[in-house]
Amino acid sequence: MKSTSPRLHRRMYALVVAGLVVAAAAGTVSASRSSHAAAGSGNWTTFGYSFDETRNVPFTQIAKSNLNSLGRIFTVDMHKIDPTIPFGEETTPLAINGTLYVTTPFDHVFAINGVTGKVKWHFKPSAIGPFKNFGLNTNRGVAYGAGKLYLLTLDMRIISINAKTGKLAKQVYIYKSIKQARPEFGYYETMAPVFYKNRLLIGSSGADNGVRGFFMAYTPDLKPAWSSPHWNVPPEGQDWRRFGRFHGGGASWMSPGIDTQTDTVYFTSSNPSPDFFASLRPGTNPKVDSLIAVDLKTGKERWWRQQLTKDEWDYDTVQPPLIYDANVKGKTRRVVSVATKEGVWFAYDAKTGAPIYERVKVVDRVEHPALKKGKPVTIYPSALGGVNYSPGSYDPNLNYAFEATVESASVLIQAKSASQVDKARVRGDVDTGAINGFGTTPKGRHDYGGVTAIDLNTGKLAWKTKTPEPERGGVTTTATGIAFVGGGDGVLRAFDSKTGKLLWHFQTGAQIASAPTIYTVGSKEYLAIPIGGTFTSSFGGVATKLMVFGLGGSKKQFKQPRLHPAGGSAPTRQTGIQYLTFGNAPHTYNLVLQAAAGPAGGGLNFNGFNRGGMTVSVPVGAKIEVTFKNLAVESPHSAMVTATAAIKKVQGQNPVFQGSATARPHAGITSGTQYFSFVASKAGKYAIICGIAGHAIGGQWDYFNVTKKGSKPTIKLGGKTYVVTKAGAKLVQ
Amino acid sequence: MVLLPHIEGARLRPGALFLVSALGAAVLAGCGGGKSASPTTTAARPPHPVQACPRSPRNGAALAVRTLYPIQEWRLASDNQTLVHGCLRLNGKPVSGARLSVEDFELPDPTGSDGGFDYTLDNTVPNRYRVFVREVRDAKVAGRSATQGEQKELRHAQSSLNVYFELSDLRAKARSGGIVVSGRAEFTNTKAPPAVVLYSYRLSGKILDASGRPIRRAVVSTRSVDGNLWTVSPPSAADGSYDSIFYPSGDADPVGFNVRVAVGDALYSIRNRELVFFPKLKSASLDFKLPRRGLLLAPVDPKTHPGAVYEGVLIGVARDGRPIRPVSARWADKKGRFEFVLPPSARGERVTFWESQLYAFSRTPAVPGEPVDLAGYPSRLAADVPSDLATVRLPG
Repeated sequence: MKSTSPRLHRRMYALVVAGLVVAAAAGTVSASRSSHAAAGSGNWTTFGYSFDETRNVPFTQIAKSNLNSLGRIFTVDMHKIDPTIPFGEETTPLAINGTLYVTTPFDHVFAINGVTGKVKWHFKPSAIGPFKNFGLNTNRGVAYGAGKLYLLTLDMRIISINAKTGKLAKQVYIYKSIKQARPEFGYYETMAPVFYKNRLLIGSSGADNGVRGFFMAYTPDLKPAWSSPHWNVPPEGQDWRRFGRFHGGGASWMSPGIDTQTDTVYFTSSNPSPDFFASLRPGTNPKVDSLIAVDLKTGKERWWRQQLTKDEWDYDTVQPPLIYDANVKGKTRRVVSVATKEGVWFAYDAKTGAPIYERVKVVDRVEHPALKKGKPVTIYPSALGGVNYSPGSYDPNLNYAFEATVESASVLIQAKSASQVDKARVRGDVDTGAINGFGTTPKGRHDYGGVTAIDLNTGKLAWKTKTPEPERGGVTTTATGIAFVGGGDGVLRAFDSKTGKLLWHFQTGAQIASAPTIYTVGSKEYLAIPIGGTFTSSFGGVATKLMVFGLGGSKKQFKQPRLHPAGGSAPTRQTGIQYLTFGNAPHTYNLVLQAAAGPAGGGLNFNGFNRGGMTVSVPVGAKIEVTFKNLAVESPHSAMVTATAAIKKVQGQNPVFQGSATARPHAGITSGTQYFSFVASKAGKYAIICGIAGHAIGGQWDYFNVTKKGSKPTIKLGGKTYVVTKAGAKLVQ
Repeated sequence: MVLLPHIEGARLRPGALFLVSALGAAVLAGCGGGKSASPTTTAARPPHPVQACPRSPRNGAALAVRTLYPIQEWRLASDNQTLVHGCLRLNGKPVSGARLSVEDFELPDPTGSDGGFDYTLDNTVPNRYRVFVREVRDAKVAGRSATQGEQKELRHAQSSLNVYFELSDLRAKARSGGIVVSGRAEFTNTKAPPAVVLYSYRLSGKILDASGRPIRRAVVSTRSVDGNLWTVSPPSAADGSYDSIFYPSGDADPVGFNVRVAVGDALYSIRNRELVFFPKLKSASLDFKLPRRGLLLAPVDPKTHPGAVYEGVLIGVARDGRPIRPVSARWADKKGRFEFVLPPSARGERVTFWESQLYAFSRTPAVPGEPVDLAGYPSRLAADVPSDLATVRLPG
């Protein structure tokens, strides 16, 4: 995780992919493209192009030889069309008979002419007012079948839409058939479902909230197709869930893969909760962090394999599993493969689940020592790293599997005791078991990304390349030997699938957290990529657009988006002495104020401290250069140095020194960084507050003392006082 | 001690002090009064799988199926399901070609030539599933097409599948204030059910328009400052009232929440106030008056009241399908033992047991083995409450 407010970000991440499928075509597939519903049609009809999720298209117009003429054909700005749509994109568009079907945050769906970019229709679910008060907004795509699109909504609805007209066909609440699957219990939907042979296949998010993970099938008219869901973990209060309150997990929050030869559905299950406190869920927690195979028709389990036992680092198995015939040590085998957030890759016999390759490292660093109660432990990758929701690809010509990766790290501080975890634990809340949420980025750390190719014949890496920012989108490969990947730096890249050589790149102007969709209309081949990313993808969440490329398109590129600051995120609470440092000029000090840094005060804090828990002291006449960051994303915050009496006011506070507040402190910012500076011109005791109405009186205040001239600057954090010197800070009491 | 004179469906444990006549589930489920095919003292724990159909009445349409399925604790090496086999009959004759449903799940195959059907039942969590005839156009009675009249009759056939914690050691004792009923609920492996636990707090109130008229179908949502926790109320009722769970927890006290009222796509927020502050870990009421124009609500402050919402298994008895409100009741203790006192008016009544996985508001803390706040006692049985679990005639 990159910065803070980790719980929210985690929820946003916990989502992913989805796929669409053309239902009617099942059983009519060609041998060469065995599981694509409409082989040769030029369509992209399910999340992973084909039901086997291999994202390998047979189209040949875009080739290595003509990449220099690949350019932008059109852009659709969905936020501009409807400004109520939040920024961000993690979706995979479908392309069916020349129409693109694209989802956005808040579960809007657009039908767009795939050649011209003209919007055909725009669907918005009914009664989505409450979404604006949710902590996340992601949607990863729709499924297609029997002339309808199938959409899952944040508030746990399944909606079918007439694909031609965009009109609502039907909607049902999932809790009608799965009683506990309600948003207030911690469940939510972001995945793209998959539709195959009259089965709409869905899971849900919510593992970090302690839900009971499930996977389920519905009929085209949205009735249960299985007698009961496949439950990935025991019922509440049974087996290992007997040992704590409302702990669970094992959610299936990404699209499944389907072996159309055997009608086997493969889906993944995520981490157990509490994420970082394993002793409250003793044992191996079977079927979490797992790959599970079930019968398409009945949901009956065929086999399962757990990729990580005793997980205490939040290393879900989450990406959609890939199914294919591979050459393994000279023999053709039916394989199902999957990579995990731990940053390792597995391949199994698709029929039996027998391991073929295990724990093949696809990231640079896999180190995750046992967590220690109340002590910081650094892990690689972070809970948001490795191979997260980003889908992989398989190229049958090369016999390579591809993964887009996130090279990340985080510092985790496990709770001090089980009672601390369970104290005031209620159903539905985030359940990490750490006192710093999902962890914080180590000082000076800058996460990056990569693309990895694995040779199925040997189980070893064929090549591996680095990218400057985490790769959250995923890989799509072509029959012409190209691997397209969109990066957190906004760059869409084309690699040589065989060698990893960068062949082409295009700056889209916004972070990318989606994988490309490739389709044809008539004789022309197109590549569609949603851009905008998420806050967790290199400070994304800045646009909600669809960009479509083709040969002969414009080569004019866009300005690079604002990226995560070099040097990693702000210091953690444990290195809090870094909050106050000497500036470059005499009598100047740098002060870092992070709003909503962790759970203290329910987020109403600076640097993790509230109600006077932090005291900053500087000598009179000092110039203070403040870097203010709001880590809450969804809640506005600001910073102001003001009179201490202001902490008892609901609103209307004013800066006590000229310039001692962020711009528009009563409105605040919902994310990002602001800077302000002022001279502490008068000695006295003051307060640092948030200027948003109700925040100061709610506890979001600390002390700011201006002491006599010549005194040493200090910072007091939770009872410990540090003297700040040019060489660093020193604990004095 | 007065022994329960007649208990059906309960499990006889060694040392139990009362007479037991454990008749089959079909008897209890309205399949017509025939005797169970497995009249043993462990009738409530059927063999797995059950292959035979229970008997059914000679007259009328009947879905003959075992109705009671004791809860087995979840096991890794199991699909945690049990096979249910039943038969559709009309006047004692098998009905083939009929389509059945269990709740919204449509059984994939029509009834067979013997009227039989199969269903796999999750037997690890309490629930009651309705089984009914969905489609009879192609139905045949003893091999011939069903007449219109027969089809009409068949459409009314229904039954239920009840997954429940087994009841044992059931006892009743008459005393001056009423009848003390006690017993134990348990998994099939005799472990006790999960004990009652604090589930959430309650946020309730009314939503009115500017003229004071109630707003229907409005939704109140709360979101914690860090954005990680949110609740959504069910739509408000015709009188504008809403009743929601929510969780005023965290390090702060009071706890700030973003509170919004949604009416369709319109979202109302509170003027000049980003947050509403709730006293920590307390239930509260919050009323709203929507503005004539715009989307800003007048500032509101919550009023707290004692109590919280608790989750636990509550066991009671019903007469003619309606729960009998006890004089007092205790939550099951950590060993699964429960007790309630029925009013004297229940003396001599024939009653049936039910179990509810209850999410109930309680003004006092709900503690295993301690009294139940009867203010939250159910006045009717929800459709998914396992019921008709055992039949007893109370002491007179």
